[in-house]
Amino acid sequence: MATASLPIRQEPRISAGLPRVGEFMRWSVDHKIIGVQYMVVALSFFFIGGILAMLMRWELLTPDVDFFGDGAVYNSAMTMHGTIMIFLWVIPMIGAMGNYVVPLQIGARDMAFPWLNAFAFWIIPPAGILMLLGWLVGPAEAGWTSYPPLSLLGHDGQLLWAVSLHLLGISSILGAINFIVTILNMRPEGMPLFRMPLLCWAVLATALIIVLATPFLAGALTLLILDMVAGTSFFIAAQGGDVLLWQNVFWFYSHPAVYIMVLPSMGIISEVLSVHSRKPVFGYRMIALSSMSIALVGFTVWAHHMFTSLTPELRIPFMITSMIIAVPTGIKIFSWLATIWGGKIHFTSAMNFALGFLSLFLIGGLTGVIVGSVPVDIHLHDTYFVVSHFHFTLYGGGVMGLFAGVYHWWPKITGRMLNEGLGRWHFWLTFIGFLWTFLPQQIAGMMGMPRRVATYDPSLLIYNQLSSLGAFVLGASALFFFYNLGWSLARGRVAGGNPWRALTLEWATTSPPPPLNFYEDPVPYPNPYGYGSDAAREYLDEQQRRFPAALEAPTDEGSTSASLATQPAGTSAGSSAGTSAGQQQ
Amino acid sequence: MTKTLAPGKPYTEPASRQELLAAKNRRLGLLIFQVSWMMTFICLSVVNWQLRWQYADWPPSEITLNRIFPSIATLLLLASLLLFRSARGTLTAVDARVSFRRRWWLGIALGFLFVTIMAVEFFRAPMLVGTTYRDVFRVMTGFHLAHALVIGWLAIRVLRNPSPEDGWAIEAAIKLWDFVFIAWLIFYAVLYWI
Repeated sequence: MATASLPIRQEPRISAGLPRVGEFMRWSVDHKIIGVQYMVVALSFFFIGGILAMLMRWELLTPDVDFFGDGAVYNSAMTMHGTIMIFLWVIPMIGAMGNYVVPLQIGARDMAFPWLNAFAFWIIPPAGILMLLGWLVGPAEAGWTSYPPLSLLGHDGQLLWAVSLHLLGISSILGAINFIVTILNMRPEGMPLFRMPLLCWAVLATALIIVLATPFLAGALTLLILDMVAGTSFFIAAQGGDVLLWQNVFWFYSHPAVYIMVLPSMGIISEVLSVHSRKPVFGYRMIALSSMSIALVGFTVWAHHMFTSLTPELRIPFMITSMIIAVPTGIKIFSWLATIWGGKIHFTSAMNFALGFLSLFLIGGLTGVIVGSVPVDIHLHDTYFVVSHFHFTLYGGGVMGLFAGVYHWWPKITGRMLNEGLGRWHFWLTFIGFLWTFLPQQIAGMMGMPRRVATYDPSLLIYNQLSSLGAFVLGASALFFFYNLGWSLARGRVAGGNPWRALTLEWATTSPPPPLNFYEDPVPYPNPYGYGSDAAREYLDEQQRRFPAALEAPTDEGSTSASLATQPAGTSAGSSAGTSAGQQQ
Repeated sequence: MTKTLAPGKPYTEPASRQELLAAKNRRLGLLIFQVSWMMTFICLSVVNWQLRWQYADWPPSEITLNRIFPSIATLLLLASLLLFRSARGTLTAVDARVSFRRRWWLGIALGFLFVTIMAVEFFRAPMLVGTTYRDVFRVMTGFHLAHALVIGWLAIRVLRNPSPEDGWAIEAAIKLWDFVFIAWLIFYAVLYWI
């Protein structure tokens, strides 16, 4: 394992310099710029979707419709919240993480198709705006699942919703093609598939799901749009169509889409847990292969969303497949636990969110097994139990993982550390606010509170008020996050090339990396998670000399940027992770 | 992205390696696109199947399916595909561009005949106004026709400057035409035989 090392006798480098703001506002084919563009757009929509969630919880403080004045307004808020959070926050955020990190991790200079990459991104802002414009012409009100006949009765906003989603689907297919080709073709020598970082495995599995499943969304939306504008009747039962047709085709995409949303976070978690507990990943091969098997089995479970409308003899097979998909997920959970077991755990914000992912996603997975069994689901179908379940998987899983990723890679992206104190506030408010919001919803759901309505039985008042209060805490937690990002850009400590002393290739260059990412042919360390060995320590020490957090004496003009001159030596707020970096290993 | 670059140029690979990699990427990218987009055709086939479940007679008994013209169209499409492929074979021989053009044009002509026959099917064919059968028939044939037209137009553009050195345009056109043929085989089976 001691074979790989960085070329020595190279002058130390601090930073390639952040691109000017204007570079992020226009067409660029650099995967790092595109990654940031994805992230900014996704975070903006996260903010909008979050505001909608707060408004909905405000409405649900009382059993009657008062705040919105009309149930239809609540419906539109609920529809837009779901759609924005899924298609304009979590999925683009995967584009952000994948775009920025994957080419760096595999030592590539860019994605396989840079132009296509930029094109895939630039579809998203117009599509998002199109969806928001629905409010001007009467918004979509049929929920993010848009079941006909409800979705065929609505306003023009429903049409804009469908067109917008169509565009987002195309964007995500183009992005996924790029990821697969990049990961399969552009790895350097010395990085066979089974030595690839686990985030790349997760993105590969995700991209495979996207290219195989998203065309079904395209097909379904095409037919829905035709029903709206061309007088066809695919989903109009009275005219010979079939409403269940939509459910089948839509869920054939949308159940795999659940894994599209959570698999990349699983990849992020695998990185973060190993790096921040200074231990090799336990069961690398099993984690990699379980991503693939989740992708595969994910295609066989879609009808569990339709247990109540499915012919009874089909329920059992889908119940069995839904149970089976818990197995690869369980393999991952146990592998992660074994990874951190006995490790030297650094409770950085990234690590906190990764551990938060472990506990919350576990609840999400287990409630999934509960609603996956037919007899229970018949009772819980379309109740707040389901709402709670999928928020545990998508927020407790997907979004917690994304936050972990942001805290982990932000220093690489901007060259500056985030504030660990603010990060801790963000984490604990998120964690407590999240449980506070969604555990009462589980109880309300079991007591029969239906989802997607603005009114409820007064006996459920206490659960809803509790849930709303928790939601406001959860909403406030995001403010700490946004503030932290701004704080870091203005005052964050300079990160250096490898603040976490991680072994994967994205850290073997400056933060942020130069335009073509590396200063020489990147040589991957043989085991991307080989922490704890002398060879790894030497490799990381050498890396730290080449890409230090601050230079003791400037070697020449080019290698010191203005930001360094004013840089205190790792004593500013939020430096706990950075200062401990030297002691890691 | 360059503003201030640290000393030393960014690493660049030798050009030949880059070109080889680019060619490899294009091939794999196109393959994945083909597989991915084929799923939309499979999706529409599934739609067709699910819709017919609720009907006792599908196609409706008022309709007698004419299988002769679509079958001829299928053969024409296959012939055009084979012509494209053989045209590519002649291009690799020394200065065989005349022969290439002749075969390629013939392939396009046969493809155009296919499009014409299927367009007639689309407008004339087994039509009962306002039935789901007609809706799904038209969506499937129309969707396929749109692809055949766009990809056929790309095949025509290949003729601007065919050369053995720049083989990618020809190779991509042929692979996309493969896609049109396979997609049509699925629809042909679903619409006329199954």
